[in-house]
Amino acid sequence: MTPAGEDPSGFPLPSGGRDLPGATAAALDHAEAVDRRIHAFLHLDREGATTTARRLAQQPPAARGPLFGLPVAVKDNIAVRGLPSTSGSAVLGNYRAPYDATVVERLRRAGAVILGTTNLDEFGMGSATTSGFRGPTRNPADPERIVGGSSGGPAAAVASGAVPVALGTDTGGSVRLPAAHTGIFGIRPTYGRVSRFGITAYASSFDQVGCLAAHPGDIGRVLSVISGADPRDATSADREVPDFAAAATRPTFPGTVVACSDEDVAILDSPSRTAFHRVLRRFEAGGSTIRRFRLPEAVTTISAYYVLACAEASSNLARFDGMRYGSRAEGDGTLAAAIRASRTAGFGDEVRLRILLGTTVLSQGYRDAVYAAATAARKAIRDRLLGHFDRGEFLLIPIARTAPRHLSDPVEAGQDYDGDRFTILASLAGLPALAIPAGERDGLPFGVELMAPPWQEAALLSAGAALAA
Amino acid sequence: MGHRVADGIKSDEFFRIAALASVAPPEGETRTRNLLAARKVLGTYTSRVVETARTEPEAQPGGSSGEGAACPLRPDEPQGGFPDGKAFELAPERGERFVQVPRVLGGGS
Repeated sequence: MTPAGEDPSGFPLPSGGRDLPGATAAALDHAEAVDRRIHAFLHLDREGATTTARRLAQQPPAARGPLFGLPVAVKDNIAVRGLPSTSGSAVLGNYRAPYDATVVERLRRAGAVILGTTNLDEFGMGSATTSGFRGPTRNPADPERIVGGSSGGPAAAVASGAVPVALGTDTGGSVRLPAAHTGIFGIRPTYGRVSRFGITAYASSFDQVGCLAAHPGDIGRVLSVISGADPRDATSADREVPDFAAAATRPTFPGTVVACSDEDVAILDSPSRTAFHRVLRRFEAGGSTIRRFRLPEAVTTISAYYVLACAEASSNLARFDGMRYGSRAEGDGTLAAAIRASRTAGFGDEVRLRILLGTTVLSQGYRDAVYAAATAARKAIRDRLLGHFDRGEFLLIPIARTAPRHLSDPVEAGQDYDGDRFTILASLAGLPALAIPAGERDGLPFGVELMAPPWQEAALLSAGAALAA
Repeated sequence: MGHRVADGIKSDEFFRIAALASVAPPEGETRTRNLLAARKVLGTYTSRVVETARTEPEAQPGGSSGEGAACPLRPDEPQGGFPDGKAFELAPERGERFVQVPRVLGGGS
């Protein structure tokens, strides 16, 4: 039973309820305590959160916003004015954001309290949250295991109960994978649904801001607030924003679920395959008709994604040169040497690799053959996916092939690239996708992904609420 | 001339590209790991993506990141390039609506 004046997350509603400064202080204490075990946060903003809570508490009830008092964590590649904004990279180790990202501005206006910024893979390039310069985040379900990435900090902050909602970014699956590994919901909205102004760009044609939460209603509340056109981001779409929170309170099994084929599922380990088939039966029991389809070939989708993402990264990260942005290292006294030294010292191995790959595929002799080909392949992949389902139907796929690996496990080159096989589909096609917790596999969280036609996030949340009920 | 990193790419060319990208390739074991990853992406993956593009006659280069998408760049985003004067530019005639691509980097000193 939820006490009057609180939402299921235990935080005050605009109608009143608990003492907000007290609730915020308790949330900060709890976040600090759990963070010693999992390292979800890069910066807890005790002073800023306390000040905000006190200010909000003075508001008359009629003036309170829809997120009044809601504690939120924000991935460290999203600008929060006055806070460190490192993107998990040493090259931005001393950088503080001079302004709020549009999504943060909208959260504040709606009454949210930003508790702090959270960990990630360096510049969002990774699937484990192990490559950030401040060390890895641990999985709350098993601290010896990875949490998934790159939004592992936000996912761990939610899954550990430190915050009810967190903002992440999703380029190739960075919200959905850690959501699946921690047993929570995570949404990647349609490309253009949410402004990217104030997000440190990695691969601009893929990057999207997403939400992670334990309850679909919390995702809906936050998504309704942060969505909508933004004159400062030309890719944001001027479309009506539905009441996503209301949609999440109407659990509805879809009429038709188009699930990937058994050949596609065959690459999952046995417990994950079993868990996936359990989800199919759950949809059938809820009244959904199941249709199967074969995913585009993995090597093609992974190729197209990494060629394009690395190309965009090589361009986007050119600004971190120790002159305009970033920490500076001295070279032999020349400008070029100083830039080279700064970038070499500031970027981690995975980031350097992707810059090298991106520069290569954009180089003379490769650009037309490889980069343009990947762009064409992307279009074909999107067309094929959209050809598989109509309005009101959903695509169902797994998210991870296995349980999250142990932090101590050796990782082979490219191993994590193959692991992106499922999540990159929505990224390539610009489609909305929702990670839904779907029980366990061998005692660890298991999640599946539903994809919908563009702009159908509300229907996704209704379907997700039905599956998780 | 260097050993082959991937189809058509030799290590000396790869490291020349590294110089253009203003990053030093990692050293030691990490360098080996990176070269292996590079071989995988640039070899297997790129050849496959090229093949796909050739066998998909309906596929045209162009943005495909969702309706309403136009350009990733913030209006006030600082524009720039490498210090050697190679600028970035969009190439809309090639359908590159989303990416700032470096002017052709290879082939020169």
